Amino acid sequence: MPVRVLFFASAREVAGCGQRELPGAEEGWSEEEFWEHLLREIPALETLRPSVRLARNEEYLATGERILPGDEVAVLPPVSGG
Amino acid sequence: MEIEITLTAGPILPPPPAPGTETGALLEFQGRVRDREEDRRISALRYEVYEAMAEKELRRILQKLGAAHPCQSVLVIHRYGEIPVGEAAIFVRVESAHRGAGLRLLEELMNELKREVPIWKVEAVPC
Repeated sequence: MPVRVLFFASAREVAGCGQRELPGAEEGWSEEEFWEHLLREIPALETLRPSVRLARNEEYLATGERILPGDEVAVLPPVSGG
Repeated sequence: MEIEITLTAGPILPPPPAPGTETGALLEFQGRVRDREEDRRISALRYEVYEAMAEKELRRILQKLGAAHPCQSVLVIHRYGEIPVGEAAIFVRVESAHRGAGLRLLEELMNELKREVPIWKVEAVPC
């Protein structure tokens, strides 16, 4: 099952789209591996990488947490609500 | 603690308060759009939200803060889309037995919301 990637705010502008699918791997990906696959598809996101956070299935990705097929991953720039 | 969270694209219209007889403090806060953003005059701000996660994060934050500063109820309404100057982007109502817990919860909620909840000001609309 693919990994669905959502982009918000400036990440959406840089990616040029609101969402993209990546093929996913049965054993899952580390955060580093996810970025490798994402940047192969959308190299322009490299500039945002230092400032964005990732969420997996609507929760911030924890250190060491793996990304599995069927997950929804969101690329979240620094927030500014309120 | 009762928690109610609403994300809305329309103007914020809070229901009238109906505090119980055990409520000693009723606090209401509005975060409003000002007419300046980085020294430029604007007519509106546009907000974007990751709706499903924003609700989850707000609930998580409120449950955590409610354990530290027990209150009776919290209502949060956050608007998204284009919000004209002078209108509220966020409304918070806190009911508590005494003012201390309510004031602390309200302040910490706003601080944590601005650090953690996936909502963004994405455009300042010029005059």
